[in-house]
Amino acid sequence: MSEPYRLSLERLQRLRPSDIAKIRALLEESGGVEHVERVFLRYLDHLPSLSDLSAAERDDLTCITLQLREAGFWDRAFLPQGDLREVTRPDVWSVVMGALRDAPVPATEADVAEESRSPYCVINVDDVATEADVAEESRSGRLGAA
Amino acid sequence: MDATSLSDAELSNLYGAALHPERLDALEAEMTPRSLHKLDSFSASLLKELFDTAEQGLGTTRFVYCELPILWVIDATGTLWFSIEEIVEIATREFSWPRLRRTFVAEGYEKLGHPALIGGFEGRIGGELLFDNEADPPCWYMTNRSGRYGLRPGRTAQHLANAAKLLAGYGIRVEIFFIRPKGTGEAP
Repeated sequence: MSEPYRLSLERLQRLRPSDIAKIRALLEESGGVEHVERVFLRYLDHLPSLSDLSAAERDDLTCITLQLREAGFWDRAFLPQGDLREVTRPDVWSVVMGALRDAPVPATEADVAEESRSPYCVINVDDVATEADVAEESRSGRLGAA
Repeated sequence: MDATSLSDAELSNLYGAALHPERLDALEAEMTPRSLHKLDSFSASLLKELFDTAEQGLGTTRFVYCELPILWVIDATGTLWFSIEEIVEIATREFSWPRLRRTFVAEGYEKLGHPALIGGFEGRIGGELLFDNEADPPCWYMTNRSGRYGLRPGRTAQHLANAAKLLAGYGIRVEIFFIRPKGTGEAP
């Protein structure tokens, strides 16, 4: 029997697609949401900047926030946005909320369907051809419809 | 037909609008990564060998590229560029070491992130190529994890899929992992 997945602080900072799938499953387990919350708050506590976040830190925090959204974390976390505001610095809270608020709606119904399913999207190399074909398909409106 | 012969509107449709990076570190406009390649038949053949080696099970490749991503970005003309994220010493401009994912950059050093791949200019979608050891089965992923190009408002899963098709055109198979971009609203 395999050990239950637990998210480390180190791993949170370097999430891979497989980690996001594992977090998604972890959130379904008893105590899983709280576990991820604790790791996320530890990450915030470990940010090196004592006052304003550096630009690189803001980038990383934004990416982690968005990756956790792909795992479904923000839909499940008991830390509603107001509570998160209470336990984090204003500059940190601002970055998290800036990443999550008013996310653009995907352009097409196909995008919505794709993004609401698994985060995985398999490209079948047999179904695509060359760069020239991509360009040609674009001209004919078959690809990249926004 | 070459992607660079397409109009800006067509390229925007394929790979997203060409946007200036919101932030540019000091050396990113000045220096070009030593490991930089333009995706063409030659570089793609070498990249494919690297990818195949990892997929076939060589641990020394798998366990490097699971934590040392290859950065990629599509420039305004529709050309895909890729390199590792290089750390350079500011004083000497010498390449020091490749940056592991999200690791701290020491004082006196700077990383050459995505903008450095295209001279700090406007770019379309970008992100990382990495080998995910823990995926079932382990495989190469192409993501849009670039705060300055790939996670900008307006980027879509289709843009990323179209970028993956550039690789597929050279026989390089990847799975894509799309991270929905950040919002456009002001944080309160």
